[in-house]
Amino acid sequence: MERLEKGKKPNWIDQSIENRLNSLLRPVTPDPRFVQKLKKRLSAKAEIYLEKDFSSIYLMIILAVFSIMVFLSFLISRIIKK
Amino acid sequence: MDNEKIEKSESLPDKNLKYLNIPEVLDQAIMGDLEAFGLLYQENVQRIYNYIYYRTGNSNDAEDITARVFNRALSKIQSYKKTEVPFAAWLYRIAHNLVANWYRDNSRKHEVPLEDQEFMLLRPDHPEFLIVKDQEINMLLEVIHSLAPDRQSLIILKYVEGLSNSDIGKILGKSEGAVKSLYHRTLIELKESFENENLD
Repeated sequence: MERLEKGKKPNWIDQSIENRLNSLLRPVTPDPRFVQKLKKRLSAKAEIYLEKDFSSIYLMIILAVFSIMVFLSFLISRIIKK
Repeated sequence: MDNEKIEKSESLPDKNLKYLNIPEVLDQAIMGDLEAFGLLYQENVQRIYNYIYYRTGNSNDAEDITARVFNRALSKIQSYKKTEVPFAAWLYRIAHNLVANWYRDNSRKHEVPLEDQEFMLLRPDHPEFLIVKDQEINMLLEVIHSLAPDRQSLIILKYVEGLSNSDIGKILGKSEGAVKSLYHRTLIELKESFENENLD
């Protein structure tokens, strides 16, 4: 390991450490397969939510139509009775 | 925060992120646009991975926690407020919290043996580290991992991610002055650790 330079500046040790950190720490590249896989997983997760939303909308429409039909048949039966 | 590093990545999509209107993309992502969220993911995945990789010391945990960060971001993006912190800082905060949980759940991993660090540096999936097989970097990482979590984050964000004190403050929830002071104290601690290592 290199020796620390002495006495050049008042903050000589900090500067030496900063140089060392600068030269030794560098960014790494994640595995491209991981990056793509995670991207797919994130969009797949969202698609499931979308399907859920659509199915609940369909269910609400079916229930609304069914309620209207029950109500109409009730009204018609009342009119016929009269 | 600069996007220079991510633009160099091999994993980038065909679209050049440099020319994207990020605030607009962010608005769309908040409204639930998945394509917009995908662009934000591509812009940030490398920096978040880097941060977690240096904090955990291995690529398996880095991948696992990176996935959790983006899953959480996707589920919480509607509660993200643009005015509070930049989006990247918000992601770093999520990563910071998840790494803290990881340390809590695996408390023995606080102490990373030198052999494990050599393994980490020489992993074939990070060929850029193959050429730096020497004692100095192993010792440096050993010393960094012995620092308090906030100090580790500060060093990684400053030297690996190249962020300013102001950006680091937004991530760690500190003022710029507090980050400056923490940085100074961290350098002193590193200096002492290096001196002790030299004596040994």
